[in-house]
Amino acid sequence: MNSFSFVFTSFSFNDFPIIIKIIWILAAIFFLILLFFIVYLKVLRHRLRVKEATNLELEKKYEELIITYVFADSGEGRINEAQSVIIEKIKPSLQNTNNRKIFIKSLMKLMGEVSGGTVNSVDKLFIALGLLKQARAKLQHKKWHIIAIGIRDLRVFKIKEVREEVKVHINHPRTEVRTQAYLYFIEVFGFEGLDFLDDLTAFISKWDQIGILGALENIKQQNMPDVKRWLCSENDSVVLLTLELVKIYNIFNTTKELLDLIHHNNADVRLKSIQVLSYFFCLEAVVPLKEIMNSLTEKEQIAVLKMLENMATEQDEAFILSHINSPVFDIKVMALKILKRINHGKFLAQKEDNKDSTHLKIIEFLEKN
Amino acid sequence: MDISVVLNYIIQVFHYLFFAYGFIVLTSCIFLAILSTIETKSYLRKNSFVNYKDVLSSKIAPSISIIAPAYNESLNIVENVRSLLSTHYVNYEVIIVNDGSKDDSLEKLIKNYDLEKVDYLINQKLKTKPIRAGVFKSKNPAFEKLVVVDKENGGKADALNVGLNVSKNDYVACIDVDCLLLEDSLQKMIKPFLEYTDKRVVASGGVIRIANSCKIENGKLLDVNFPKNKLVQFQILEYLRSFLLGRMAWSRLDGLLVISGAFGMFDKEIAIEVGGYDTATVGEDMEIVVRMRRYLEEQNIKYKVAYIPDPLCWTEAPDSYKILTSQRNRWTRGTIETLKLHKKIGFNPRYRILGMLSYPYWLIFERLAPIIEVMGMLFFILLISTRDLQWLYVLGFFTAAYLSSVIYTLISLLIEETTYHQYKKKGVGLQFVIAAFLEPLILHPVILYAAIKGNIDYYFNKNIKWGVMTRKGLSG
Repeated sequence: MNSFSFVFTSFSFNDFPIIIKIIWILAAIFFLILLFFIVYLKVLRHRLRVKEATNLELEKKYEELIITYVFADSGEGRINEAQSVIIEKIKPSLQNTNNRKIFIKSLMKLMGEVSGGTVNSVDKLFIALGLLKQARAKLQHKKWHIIAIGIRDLRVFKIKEVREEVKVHINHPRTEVRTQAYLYFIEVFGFEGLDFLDDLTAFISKWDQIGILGALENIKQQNMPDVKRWLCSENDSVVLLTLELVKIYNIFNTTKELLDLIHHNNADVRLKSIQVLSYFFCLEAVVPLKEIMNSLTEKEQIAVLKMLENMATEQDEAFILSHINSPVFDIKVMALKILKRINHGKFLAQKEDNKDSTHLKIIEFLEKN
Repeated sequence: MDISVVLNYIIQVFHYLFFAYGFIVLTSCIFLAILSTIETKSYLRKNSFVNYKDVLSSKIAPSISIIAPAYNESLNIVENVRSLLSTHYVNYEVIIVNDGSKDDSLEKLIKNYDLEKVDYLINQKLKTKPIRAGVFKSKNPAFEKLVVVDKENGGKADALNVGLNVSKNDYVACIDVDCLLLEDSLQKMIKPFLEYTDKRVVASGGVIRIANSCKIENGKLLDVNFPKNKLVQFQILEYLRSFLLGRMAWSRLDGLLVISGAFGMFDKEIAIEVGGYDTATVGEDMEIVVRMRRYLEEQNIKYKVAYIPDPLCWTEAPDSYKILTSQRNRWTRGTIETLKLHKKIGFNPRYRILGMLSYPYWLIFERLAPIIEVMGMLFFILLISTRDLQWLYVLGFFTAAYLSSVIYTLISLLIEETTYHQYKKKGVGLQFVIAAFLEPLILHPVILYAAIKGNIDYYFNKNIKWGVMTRKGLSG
């Protein structure tokens, strides 16, 4: 008897062979999951649309209230009655997490657009609504992203009194928390805040360097602290960041430290030091760099030659000639370029001395450009 | 021994093999779905703190070269280049490599971007076809970021290698010239290269989204629409599944083997060290990633291939079965070539995740999947002809398999909705569900056919290379 006739003669599921039972139970489960997902997708899409509209409305409402609050400020340095009314209006709605998120977002948006007394006014609102207390509590949280949110809020609203509590997190295992902590110190304390580098053992990524330098750029009062100690830091990433500071803020009194750094163990530090010395047009660096040239990496050698592009004199001719036949294309180009400037005759003679096609191509290019 | 006993024994073995294969496929799908959900959540949480604006104005932000090969793209080349030039990143250049186009692409570029031939010293680190008309730059300062290289035809890989030679920056973004990049795509793609301190990020791949029916003006995506064409709808689901579930999960496992050729960023030093793109394969995008990973494993260098799930790059999907089968045929051949070329890493513990997980998965569930599926069909026909089948079991089996594939698609849709929610318009949800039910019945057989044809072409028709990919253009 085949299975179809079996179905027609007996409709009882219990009589089916076990394998058929299993496969149909599985199909039924899949069907139910599918049904659930379809309904969930429908509900989810609807909720997302509604939430988007509600959030927009809420954002608009909060923005209006915040602006009214700011304009109600009498400049006496304390919260007045009109402002208290607005605070009482906002406070109950902030029990809801989503509302709180939107409110903080609106406040942050405003913080990015205002300055002077208005900043203090917004700060006071942040404190009066109990948000400071909440942000502070977040610093003790077990979850890293809650800590990061806490520091971010304290940073945006420039809360100074939590300095020590934030400092605890500068070496946090999560990079996102560390980033927020670095930015807190810069945005709240300006250049003075850079002293967190003294206690930093974690590595600052290039991405964080960009963030830190970006935050520093926005600070008007540029009272740069003494950076020499960070050029001698045991944390290589601190040295690298400081080298960027030295270059961007033209800290010329660091030449001695920079010259020491060309002997550093870390190749990135050496490379950056050479680039900064080159930027400073530091003639004292030429002799020591020429001496250690052969022990340097390819990138460092190119950086040294780039430095010599403008600094080399006839006295450097022998050194330059020793690099003209380098197998590294960029070194060869740089050396020939320098030779063209310091001894044009010898540069032209290179055409006869070396018939290699790449060599001739470079000379031909340099002759025209 | 009786022949029928032997046959019966063979059938039993095959039966269990197919069952095991199906079971592992289902389990791996569940596993990948869980992993991708975790990874997506983690990515979004991490990135909720990121300020991408700093990198735009930073003096120390690295320079990036966008390399876009173009072959007979005259129809849209001017608009496409304008789109590439309108990204928000500051330190970048756009290198258009005109790969021996027979149309007037170069003339159009010269005319529209005020180009002039310049002396350009190229370090020929990678061997390529020679330069044809030369290197061009614009006289207009507004287009100072544009470099156009005209070379003899050598294929996409060769054109990309020319771009690698011409680029003077440390990072290169290799893209299809007809792709539409969102304005913040470069800063998002460069981030992984700058944020890891304990390993070297050598490549980052982005999600590719389908732009058919979307509203695009002046190279900018203005409105996302769900297309009416069923074939394109199916491909949208397929891409969501692949990028939001598959690749996200592989990224979590640190086992990504592919970065889409439509948009990927590379550490140029490593890309050149491994010899650049392979001109002998049609799957050059997958091949270079596998070769880079293999090289880094062999050198014992700590590395990462990063993946960005944000919808950064939008492209035009084939809207005809003919072009689609040609595209998938090429993808199949590319996969076969890459896996064959790097067979040494397969099941080799020396290559860790790459050798013991990524390669075997690709071999068994990507490379061999269409073959196993066809074998399964033949086996089924054999069973019908030789056995008295339990049709109720057969029906139940196909129902369960079909429903599980729809569930998998719905999971990717749910992830899309809870994360990027790109298709916001009312009614799209229902269209999604209908497409999810139809896709296994309509698109899958086409893909299977293309994959089998790809296998046949690979073994018996070696002369086939890229095939024609006719595009209509994204700008409406």
